[in-house]
Parts: sequence; C-alpha cells; structure tokens
Amino acid sequence: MEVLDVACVSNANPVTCRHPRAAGARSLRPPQQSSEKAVLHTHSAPLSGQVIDGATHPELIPDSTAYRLAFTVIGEPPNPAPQRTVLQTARLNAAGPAGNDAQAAIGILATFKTKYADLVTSYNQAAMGAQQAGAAPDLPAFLASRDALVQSARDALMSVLTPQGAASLDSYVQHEKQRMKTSKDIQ
Amino acid sequence: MKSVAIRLLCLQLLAALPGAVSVLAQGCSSWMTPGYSSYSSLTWSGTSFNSSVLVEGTTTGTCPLGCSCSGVRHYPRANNQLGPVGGWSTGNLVPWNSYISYEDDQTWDDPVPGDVYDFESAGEVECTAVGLFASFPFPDIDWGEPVTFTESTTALAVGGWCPQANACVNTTMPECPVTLVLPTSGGCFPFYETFVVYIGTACLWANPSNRAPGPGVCTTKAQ
Repeated sequence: MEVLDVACVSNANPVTCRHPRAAGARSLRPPQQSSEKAVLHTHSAPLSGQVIDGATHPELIPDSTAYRLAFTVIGEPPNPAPQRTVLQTARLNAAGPAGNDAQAAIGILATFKTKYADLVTSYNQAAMGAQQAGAAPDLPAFLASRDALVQSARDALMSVLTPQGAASLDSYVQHEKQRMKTSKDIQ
Repeated sequence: MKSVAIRLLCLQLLAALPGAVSVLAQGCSSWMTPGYSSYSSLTWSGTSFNSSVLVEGTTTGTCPLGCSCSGVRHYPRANNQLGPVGGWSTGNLVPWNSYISYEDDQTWDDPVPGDVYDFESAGEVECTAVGLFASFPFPDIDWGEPVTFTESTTALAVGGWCPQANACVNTTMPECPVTLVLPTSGGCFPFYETFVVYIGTACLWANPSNRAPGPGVCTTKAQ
C-alpha cells in the first residue's frame, strides 16, 4: 500500500480546509450527502504527488488536456434537450464564441462529443476483453486517438471561427486551466 | 489551499479463492497507477448559475502473477454543491482498467439578490477493494449572486455615457466597476438597475438585459 503526499486528512468533513469566507457570506448548503467518505486534502507543494494542479501551475496543464475537458463540458450531443441547449448557450457565452461563431461551435462540438463517446466505449470493450484474456488493452493507441480527436476539433473550430471568436475561446480555455487538475503520467 | 492527494490503494479480492493470494500479500498491492483528470466549471447565464464537475481517465498497471484482478472495480464520484443544490453523485462501477468519463451538472435558477453562497467541488475515483483511490478537491469559491442597485443623480453624463459606477452595494464583497449606457436628456442621468456577478474576488460582468426598464427619479438616491 502506498499513500502519496497526504498533508492534511479530514475523515469526516470535506470542507474542513475551506478558504476564509468573506464577511457576511452565508451558506445554504444542505447537509453533506456522503460525509462518511474520507476526503484527503493537502496544503502542500503545487505538484502534489503525481498530480498537476492548474491553480498553481496552469502552464503545466497541456493544451490538449485543457481543450478536451472544456469540449467535454461545453459540448452536447446532436439534438440536445431544450434545457441542455440553454446550458450550452450559457457555456458558449462564457467561452467567447457568439452568434455565427457559437452556431458553428455547436456543430463541431457535437461531432466531437459523439466521436469521443464512441471512442471510449470501444476502448472499454477492448479493455474488458483484454482483461479476460489476461492481456493489457492498447492504451497508447487509445490516448493517441483521443488526442487526435481533440486536435481535429480544435482545427475545425479554428477554421470556422472568426479571429475574435478563436482568440476568446483560447483565452477561456487557458483561464479554465486554473480549475483543472491532472495526473502527470496519463492525462 | 486545498490541493490534491492520491492514494494508490487498489488491491485484489482473492481471499475467497482456494489457495489465493491475500489482498495484502506482498506483490499484490501498489501495482496500479491512477491517470485521471478533473475539471470544475462554473458559469453564469445572466439568470442562473451552472456548474459542472468532470472526472476522466483510467488506471494502468500489470496484475502481478498469482493475483486475480478481475473482481476489482472503480467508480467515479463528484461533489458539485452549487449553493443549495447538488452534492455528491456517483457513477457506474467499471473494471479497474476502464476509461472513465463522468460529468455531473447542476443549475441553480433561483439565486436571491444580496445573498452569498459557496461552490464546492471535487472529483474522485474509488476502488471497490479499498476505497478512495484518486482525489481532486478544488478550492471552495464564495460567490455572490446578482446584486441590484438603482441610483439617480444630478451629475451630468459625458457623451451619453457614465464612465463607471460601483454596482456591488454590499461593501463586504468586491466592488465591480460597470459601464452603463445612459440617456442624457434633462441634464441628469440615472443609474439603471444592474446585475453584477462576482465570484470570490473576481468580478464577472454586468448583464445589460437585466437592467431596469427605466431610470429612477432624478436627484434622488435609492438602493
């Protein structure tokens, strides 16, 4: 058993290590639904264990990872439910593309979302088969396909977005790295 | 600041098999490497807040000779507590070497002006053998919700624009400079009702569509 870089352990309340709240702030949070789960908090080095923390080292979050995570959250499959359309519009507004740019992005991200889901499903089926056979799935090939799909979506967006839309999208993704964390080895 | 801790703990469940190696036996532990990413997103639509917590990735490793790994399962968890909505959610159990892509979304359509809430988020991957396997807690964000402000004044506008106004009236929160488009008739200008959203110490933006339909009374000041 190996435990990496655990500087602060809270075994009951996941908000023990919270930031100071502004005066007058109040929380309407309901009781924690899973307070029995131990949550490990650290207040240690920026690179904690095997994880890159984008809050302190955003430059170490690869663009391919950041775009993949952003596309996954912003993107919706084709013909989403009305409430999902509203949600996507809000996210696109935050990300920058508007008007025709937003419409173009919706289609490209729908294609990305569909292909990504298919890719994951195929890999997981292969992984299950490999495990039953006592072999390892071809993870490098999957990761290469995944990153190529992300790059393809980025290229498609850059080809249709206005320069302003493309710049604002990139600025947004770079900013969002602050809210991303990723393993150093497999991203 | 909360950062990240990862525990490599996933072991084999073999105790029930005749002649099987104990899950804690030397060689049957610490062979898995977590490779996950997590993303905590919060956006404002102009009328509601939307948050997402995404957990993605997989685990690598080679099951040691003599150990059975087929029974080990992983599952994602996400804490997406957006003010009074959301909380912890759990994804499906999958074989330990599966690729996980799990997203939890929350929307809060009914923020109350003047109140301040927090956004708590975290991504996790748990192992059926020993529990918490990878943990990505994100720092809490205290966030204010739209604050309304209406004011009128006799000051003259310059070229139809009021350069800036502090629209966040709660002095315990950050004040956000906002540029307002104003009519100039009558030699005075009103401040229209304005929504300003702030999260932590960062101002977001004012949403023009949420301005009041008309000005307040000239030479009066109201909040």
